[in-house]
Amino acid sequence: MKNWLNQHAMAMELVVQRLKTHWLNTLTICMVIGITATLPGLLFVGLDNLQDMSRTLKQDAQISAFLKPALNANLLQRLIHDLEALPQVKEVRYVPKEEAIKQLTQQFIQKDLLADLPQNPLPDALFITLQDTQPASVKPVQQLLQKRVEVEELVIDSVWIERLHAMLVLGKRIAVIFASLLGIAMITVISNTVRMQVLTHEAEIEVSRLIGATHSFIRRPFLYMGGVYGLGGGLIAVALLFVIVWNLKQPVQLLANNYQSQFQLVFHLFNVGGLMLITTVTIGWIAAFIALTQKR
Amino acid sequence: MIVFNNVSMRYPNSAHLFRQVSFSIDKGAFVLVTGHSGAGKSTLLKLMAGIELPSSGHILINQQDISQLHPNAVPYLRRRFGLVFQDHKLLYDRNSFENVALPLSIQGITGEEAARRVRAALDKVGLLNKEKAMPITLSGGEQQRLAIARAVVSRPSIVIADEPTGGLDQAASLEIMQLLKAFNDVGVTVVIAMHDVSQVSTIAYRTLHIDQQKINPMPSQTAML
Repeated sequence: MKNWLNQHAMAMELVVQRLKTHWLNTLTICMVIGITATLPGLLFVGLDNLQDMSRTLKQDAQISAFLKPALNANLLQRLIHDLEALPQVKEVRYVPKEEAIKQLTQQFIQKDLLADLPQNPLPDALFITLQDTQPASVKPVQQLLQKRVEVEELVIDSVWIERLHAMLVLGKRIAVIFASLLGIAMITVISNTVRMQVLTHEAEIEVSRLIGATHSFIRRPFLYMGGVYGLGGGLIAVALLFVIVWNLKQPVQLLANNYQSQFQLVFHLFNVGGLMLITTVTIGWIAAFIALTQKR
Repeated sequence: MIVFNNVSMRYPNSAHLFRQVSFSIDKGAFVLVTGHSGAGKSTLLKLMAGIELPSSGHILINQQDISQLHPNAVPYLRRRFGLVFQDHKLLYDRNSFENVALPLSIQGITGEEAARRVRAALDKVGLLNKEKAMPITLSGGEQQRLAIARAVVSRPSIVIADEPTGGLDQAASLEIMQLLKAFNDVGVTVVIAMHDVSQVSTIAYRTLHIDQQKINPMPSQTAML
């Protein structure tokens, strides 16, 4: 066990020594990997933020049911009761037309225009807040309301959120394709570099093999080297993402404020950063493994 | 003990180097493998060290059949040998100490224990004062002595040397042979391939002569030079 640990420590020491000797080359490769990883990283950060935003929007998802004029109070109570019985419904709020016009008057700038109207044009309405905006939750409520004669018109506020969800799914798929392509590019770069290292140390490999080195002993420093390139590139990518998000934070917040939104651009260092590091290290290791397999 | 039992060897698309050769080398022997250039001396040593596998037959090292060995076990077999090559096969980007330490690091031996063994090996070959020297700065004879130090640092029971005096002048050759004999005197089996036995001084040795795909073991003798 001690020997095994010694060999891993020696391999790591050898890698650090080699990388230090060719530090400029190491830095260049890490920069290439870092910049390549930043591009899909930005996409993921963007999608992560949009997903966060869509989660907060869920609470506002509503179905508005405009009722027929002069509706019987018993029919109205039964409708409210039936809606509240549905598990998908979080809250049902009844807004009579008198209250609706009052609210409209408060919001409307040209109050005289409303005062001039001969009668209140607004209908009584039910505002139904849902537990969530998934199509499966919206549908039963929608079906119930469409069957009831008491309801004159339905407005489903969640449609645009569903569209946002669909766009997020599409965006994620595009990000994965984009990341995969850049991942292949990273594998090619690292694999080529490791292959060059193998060729440079061919004499050492030959001697080591002759005097009893196992395949693992020979391959280990190169596999570590791939991992270290990935780690270096990943750290650069995380740093770049952090700086980019920090730079965009204020303009995005200004834009969001214009739309009366509290949305803030965030970078989840441990989630996105951690995932980025794990991915780049894995890519580095796989690339080194491919380089060593090609060599043999 | 090294035993060759009906061993044949031929490389793909070429003629046989040996046909059904059998011989044995006792523990602690000092053996010279002789023959003309291309006779198969190096191949014979490679077969002993498990670097090549025979086309047929069995090779036993201390009663273990190495021709049946799983490929993963071969590196561990090679650690039981000390190998010396004509071209030294030193690492020119590492100093003398690091070159000698390589077999130990392969076996996971590091730190004080490794340093002690490396210095002992360098001392035996007379290069203790050159442990920081890069191999390129050493003479041909010193480089070969360094290679011998690397071969013996892990205390192998068998040292196999392929033309260890090739390219060296007579004085340096004599030094190398005396060094190998010194290891033989403490019980190490030494097998040397060489085409020019005139370099062997007053050393008692046994010869395996390769000629026309056959190996002819000769009785022990002492060089007269």
